[in-house]
Amino acid sequence: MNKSDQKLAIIISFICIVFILIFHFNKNEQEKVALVYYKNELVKTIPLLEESQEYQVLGKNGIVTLESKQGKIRVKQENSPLHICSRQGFIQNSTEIIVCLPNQIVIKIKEKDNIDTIVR
Amino acid sequence: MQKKINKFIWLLIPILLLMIGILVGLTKQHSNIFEQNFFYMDTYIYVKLDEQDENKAKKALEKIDSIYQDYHILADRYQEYEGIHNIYTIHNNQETDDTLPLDPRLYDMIQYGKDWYIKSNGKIDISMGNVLDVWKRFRTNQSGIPTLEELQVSNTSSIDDIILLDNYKIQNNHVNIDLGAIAKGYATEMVGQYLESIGIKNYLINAGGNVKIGIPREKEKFSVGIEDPNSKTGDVFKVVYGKNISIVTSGGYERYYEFEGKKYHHIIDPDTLMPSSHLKSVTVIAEDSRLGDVLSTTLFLLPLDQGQMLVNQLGVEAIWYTADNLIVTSKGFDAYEQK
Amino acid sequence: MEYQKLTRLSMFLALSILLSILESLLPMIGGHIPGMKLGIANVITIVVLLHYGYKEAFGITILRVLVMGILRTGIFSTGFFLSLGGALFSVSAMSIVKQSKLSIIGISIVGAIFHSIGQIAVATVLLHLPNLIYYLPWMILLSMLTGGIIGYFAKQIIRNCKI
Repeated sequence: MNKSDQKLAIIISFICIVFILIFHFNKNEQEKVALVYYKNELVKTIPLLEESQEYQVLGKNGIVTLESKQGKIRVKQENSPLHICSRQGFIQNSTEIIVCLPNQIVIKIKEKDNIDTIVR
Repeated sequence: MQKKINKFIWLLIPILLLMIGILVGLTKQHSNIFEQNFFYMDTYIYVKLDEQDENKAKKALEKIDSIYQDYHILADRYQEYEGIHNIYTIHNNQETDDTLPLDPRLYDMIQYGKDWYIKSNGKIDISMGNVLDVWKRFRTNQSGIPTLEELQVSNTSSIDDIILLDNYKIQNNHVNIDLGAIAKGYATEMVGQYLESIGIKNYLINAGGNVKIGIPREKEKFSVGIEDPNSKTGDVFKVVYGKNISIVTSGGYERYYEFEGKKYHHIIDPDTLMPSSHLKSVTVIAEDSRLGDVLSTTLFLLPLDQGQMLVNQLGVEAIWYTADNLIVTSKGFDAYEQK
Repeated sequence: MEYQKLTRLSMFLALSILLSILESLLPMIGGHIPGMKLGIANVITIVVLLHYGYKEAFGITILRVLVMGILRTGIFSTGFFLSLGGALFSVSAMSIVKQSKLSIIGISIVGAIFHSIGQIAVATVLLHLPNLIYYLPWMILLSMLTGGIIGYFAKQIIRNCKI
């Protein structure tokens, strides 16, 4: 083993460790995802990350504003007589669901990646 | 000239091979997913198809919608539909004829229910609509629980009052039939058979506790989690792996109401006229979704040992989650726990 | 090609095939990554590369992969392309660094690193698994270790055996 070899080994090792750390801290946040359906068709897939993020989808009565943060999602604003779904608040796991009947929007959380579906 | 060609041949051949390999890889089919949600039979139904032909998939989803809708209509106890003889019609019709013609699908479901009265030692009794109505009234009003007298008085029909005749006719005895343990399984099985018949083999159906799966595209088996009856966050206590199979769960932990600290769920034991209490859930794995549906309700009502005997006879698998939080599996169940 | 060289290369080919077969009898060290292996046969590849040149090294390697395909992985199966991809990346990289200041061990390490890169690249494309890239840094670290060991053996052979 000579000096060149050692330099090579150190540089490559360093790069690998850096990537391992980057992957480690990024991977977890990609796990939860919210699925938004309009009239029973999937129109948007929203990753549920830490930072607060807003999204807009078109519902039957106009624009529906969604907000995701800290791995949760809610309907922030929508046009409907009773505002039931925007008053519902955040959902965060796959057993919960937000249904906006007037706007025909349904939001659910995708099951954990390694299970295709859960029989309840 | 010769030398130059020789030099590059070494490089060319492997690169060519690699290119062939990559082309093969790229043309291999990706997943192409089509999913849709429906709401029928008081249940949230989810269907996912993996199909290259977009038109075929979309047409299939439309057909699936109509299949579930048809069974919803036929099994609807509370609503009349013009021109259709459904469960409501059987109970409430004002016709003067002795017999009532039925849609063959409805006829089959009722026959299935009658057959299962015997197979289930009386735990599947589709003639108990009146009893279920009493419970529903109390559950909706949250006004306590019915007394045994009230329930017994309402139980005016028995399974023998349901008389099926030739040519898809039923004796017009106005029985209040309930197909709650049968309709969903039937519809789901029909959907599965329909998909197979048109050549769509990569499908997943989850009709609220009734799962039917075909073959996944990029792996060998689907993975299906079974919900933990005790979990408030919908966690899973067991994962099973399979293909071309049905997985059906019956449990008391989703639909219930509370009165004076006790929970009353919706699966009523024909012998006691009360909700059963010895199991929190039971899950059946069977090829046919109809069997899965009716058997899961049967096993939920039968004592554990009788249920185990029945499962052995039928050659299917099941997992019981008792009220004492014991988990019991049938003999061959662990075959479904392997990836 | 003169007869002596031809017979010698044939022997080397046979040896590398033998080493490959022996290695395939060992339990898989890679876990879920198909094709992850120690690469013992690369000892031969390195010796041939340093003694004869890159053309001969390419030739030996490709023939070895082909024969192993017939014997073990299946011609044109996923495992075959994984093997081929890794081998090609590896020999190419080693051919390039052959002239550099790296010692034999260093060259072997480079070969091992690029073998892993090649395998992951092919696997990602063929199996449609973009997530495989998460394995790469770990595989490279492991490859440096195995590469070093293989390189050490190659060095000993070159130093002590009359070729």
